[in-house]
Amino acid sequence: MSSFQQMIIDLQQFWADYGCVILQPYDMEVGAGTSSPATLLRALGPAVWNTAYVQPSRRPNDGRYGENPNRLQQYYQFQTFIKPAPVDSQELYLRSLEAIGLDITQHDIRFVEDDWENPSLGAAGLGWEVWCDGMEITQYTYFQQVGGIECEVVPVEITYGLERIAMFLQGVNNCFDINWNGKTGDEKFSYKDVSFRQEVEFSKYNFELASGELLLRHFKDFEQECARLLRNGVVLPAYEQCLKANHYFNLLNARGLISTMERAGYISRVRAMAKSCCEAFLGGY
Amino acid sequence: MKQTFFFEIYSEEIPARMQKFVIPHAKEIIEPLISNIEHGDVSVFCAPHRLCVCVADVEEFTQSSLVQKRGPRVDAPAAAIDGFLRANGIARENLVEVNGYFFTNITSLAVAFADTIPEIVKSFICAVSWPKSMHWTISAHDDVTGVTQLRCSRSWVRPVRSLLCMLGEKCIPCRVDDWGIRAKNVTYVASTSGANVEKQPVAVNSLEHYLEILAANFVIVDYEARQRAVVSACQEALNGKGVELVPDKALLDEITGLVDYPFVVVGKIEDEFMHLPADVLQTSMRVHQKYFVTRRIGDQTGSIAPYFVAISNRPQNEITLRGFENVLRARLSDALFFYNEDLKAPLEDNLSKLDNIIFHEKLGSLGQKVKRLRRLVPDLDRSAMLCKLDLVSNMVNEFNELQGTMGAHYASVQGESQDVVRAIAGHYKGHGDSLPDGGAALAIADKLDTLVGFLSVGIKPTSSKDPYALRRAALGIIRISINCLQLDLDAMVLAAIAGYSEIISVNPDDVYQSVKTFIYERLAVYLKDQESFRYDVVQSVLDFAFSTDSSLNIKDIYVRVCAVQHYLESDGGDFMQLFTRINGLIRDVTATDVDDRLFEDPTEAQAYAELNSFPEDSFACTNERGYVEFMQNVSKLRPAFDHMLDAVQVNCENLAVRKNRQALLVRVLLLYRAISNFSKIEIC
Repeated sequence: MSSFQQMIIDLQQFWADYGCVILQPYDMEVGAGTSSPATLLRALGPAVWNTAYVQPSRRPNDGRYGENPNRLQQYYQFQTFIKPAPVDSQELYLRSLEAIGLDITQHDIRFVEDDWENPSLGAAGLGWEVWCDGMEITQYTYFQQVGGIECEVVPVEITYGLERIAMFLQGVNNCFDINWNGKTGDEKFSYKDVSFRQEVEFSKYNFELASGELLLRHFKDFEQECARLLRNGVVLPAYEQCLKANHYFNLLNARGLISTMERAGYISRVRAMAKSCCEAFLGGY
Repeated sequence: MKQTFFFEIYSEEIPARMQKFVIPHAKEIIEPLISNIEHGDVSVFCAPHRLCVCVADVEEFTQSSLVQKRGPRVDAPAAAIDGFLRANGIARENLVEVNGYFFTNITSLAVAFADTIPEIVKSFICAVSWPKSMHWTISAHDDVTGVTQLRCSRSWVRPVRSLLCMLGEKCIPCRVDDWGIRAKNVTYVASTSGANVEKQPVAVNSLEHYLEILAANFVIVDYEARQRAVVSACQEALNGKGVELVPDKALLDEITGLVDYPFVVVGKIEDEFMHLPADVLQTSMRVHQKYFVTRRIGDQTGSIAPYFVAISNRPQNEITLRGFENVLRARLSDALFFYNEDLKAPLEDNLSKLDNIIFHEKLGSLGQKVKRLRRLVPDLDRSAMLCKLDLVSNMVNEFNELQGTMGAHYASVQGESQDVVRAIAGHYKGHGDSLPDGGAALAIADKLDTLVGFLSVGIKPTSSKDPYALRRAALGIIRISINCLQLDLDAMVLAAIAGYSEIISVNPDDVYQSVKTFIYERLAVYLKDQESFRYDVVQSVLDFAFSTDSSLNIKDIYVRVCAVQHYLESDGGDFMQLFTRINGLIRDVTATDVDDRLFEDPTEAQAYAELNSFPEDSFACTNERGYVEFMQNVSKLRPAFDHMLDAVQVNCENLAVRKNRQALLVRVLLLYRAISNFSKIEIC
């Protein structure tokens, strides 16, 4: 049985052997590994780039106070990003599953159409969800567009849902039962030991305590700051403002302070920021 | 010797819905490409990894054909004509004159079909237009410079990995540089049965051999055969359980495109989940998991049986079965938790929560929207009050697509009347092919309130973006007005504008006009694209609607378009010829009195008499038959007016007589203008 951490170590080793730059997580609140500049901005332009990293991913709306066996407001993605996408990327991916102990001859693995789109970041691609016995374990995407700009060299992004795969491998039905460090008895640390309190407290914050007034105000601040920084020619700090705005929008959404209609308006404001950042980033080539 | 020509484009997984699309599409493309070779049946196969085109009984040589080639003009200089003769190796007597040009008949020679294959395959690849396609990056090696460069591929639905191309037993090695590949006599199959593991290359000798290889490796490449296999595999698996599949063609199509060969997994749904509303169970299974839903054999009540059927690429084993059941259990546990939470309090308890949800930053909260709706449809007050409350339920927060459905369900559980339940369920409907089943006024009011609000603050869709789905709202209003319910839209638009008075200040006339224009523009698109009415007929009626000060009446426009198109396509000849003849003579269509003392010719008096006998009551028509009868009555004026126009000159010297004749003709044109603007009709 593979522990949560061993799975990460094995995936890192697998992709390190392939030649990826193994990065550490991006140190900001993001909803997915895609948002990291190591993926989003590097997807632009002609340069070759291969990387893999774990990204703690925040989804404020998915918080369940630690009471739901499958929902977390912060979970972990393993992100692999290869540019350009190699011809054998699917085989590589399947082999990586074997590397973490999934016997692919015993499971129904299918690539189900899912054209991924992140409207906030103006990013879109074609690809699949990878299903293992009916469970989505990976998002597999050939990027076509980022920040509204066509990708000159087409990368593949492989995003593993680590908790789902761990539950699968360890045969547990509750993500809090995942064995994190692989030990038994007193030495064992479960996912619950590591993350439970965080889930409870952040759920309370996301849904009840976050100040709508403050979030709205800061959203505007980030928007202005992003524009100001871009005027001063610094792209990466400007992009951070865009990510902060995006996170605050997600919090507003979780607080239930935005209607379906209004959501679209905020998304288009974040996209405008992302688009400006992407254009400025390309301008630096 | 006749041979089979076939090629296979092997790619990464083709989306399920596109496999069904591409089969007839590919046939349409290949037919003209092989029109100059005698051949037998054309078949197109499609499975997740491959698109395969087969042409049976192809002759060895293409047919020679006679082509007419145009030469110089007849009056061209002699040197030019001689040059044409020399270039084609013909003599002067081989030329024929047509329309001032010399022509000659040239025979194009038969060529070996095999030589034309690379061009056919390339043309085919260029012509296929997937609903959604992608680029990928290929590395192209230049043999001369020895440099490898990255290039963007020609687009396809997913990256292409290999090309198989054969004529009989011979491989035709055509190159597709845009994909960086060259055809080989090789296809790929999974190395173990049904598992999506590494693909192994296998050499192919012929089409028969190819099909044998695929069959032996659990690939049913024929889409229809695969679909039949899915159905029979499901039936077999359910045998003896007393249940059957709930028919679901959309899911069946999708499943057919998701597997090479259908292995079936029948799983159980635990009892505790069977209390959930059938819609929730179905959404979880069909939409999220792509499992078939089952019911007791012959059960038409809409209730479902505690079994699901999943299709897998692998033979069922304990591991996959447990996996499939676990995933569903996780989803349903979630749903059950939400459902029980939601039922703890009546819907009304959430009313105040709507005040905290921003509808749009310039347009207030959802709570305010609900208050406006209640004023717009006072007869449906209870439905209007409850209709948005499921938006703050746990279930809809989780399953967005169940908005309206859950509201109706919760309303039903708390004992609301069936009218209220149906109005809540229907108030989002109107687009696609859905229509509300009751409470249509609420469905219109909700959309109209949205449209009025956004147009009031100047937010309109652009050509590419419509983030607030305003087009869809207008479309819903249009479809419901045509199919379900006619109400006084003018009054409702004005009331909707007034409803926003506390939030925004606008000029009501301006907003009314922009709402009317927006709806009419969408109506024009709808009538042309969705209902396939003639472009000119739609323009004609809408031009009429815009130019008159008529009220916003969608149904009336629809009826007029129906009437005009049907009439013109049946016996509208006299009607349009009379119009064209008169319309050409009149510049200014302003009604003035006709003075019968100024008639100089008996045909004028006759025409006038005919006009005066035009049945007054036909102006009151509002349905299609009434409009058609009106136009028939107009067309009956033709003989009398033709006689008059043959007999007299309208634009004569005598000004008074001229004006009088024009006044008479204007009266006829005004009859036309009571129906539509016929000057927009294209006469063919």
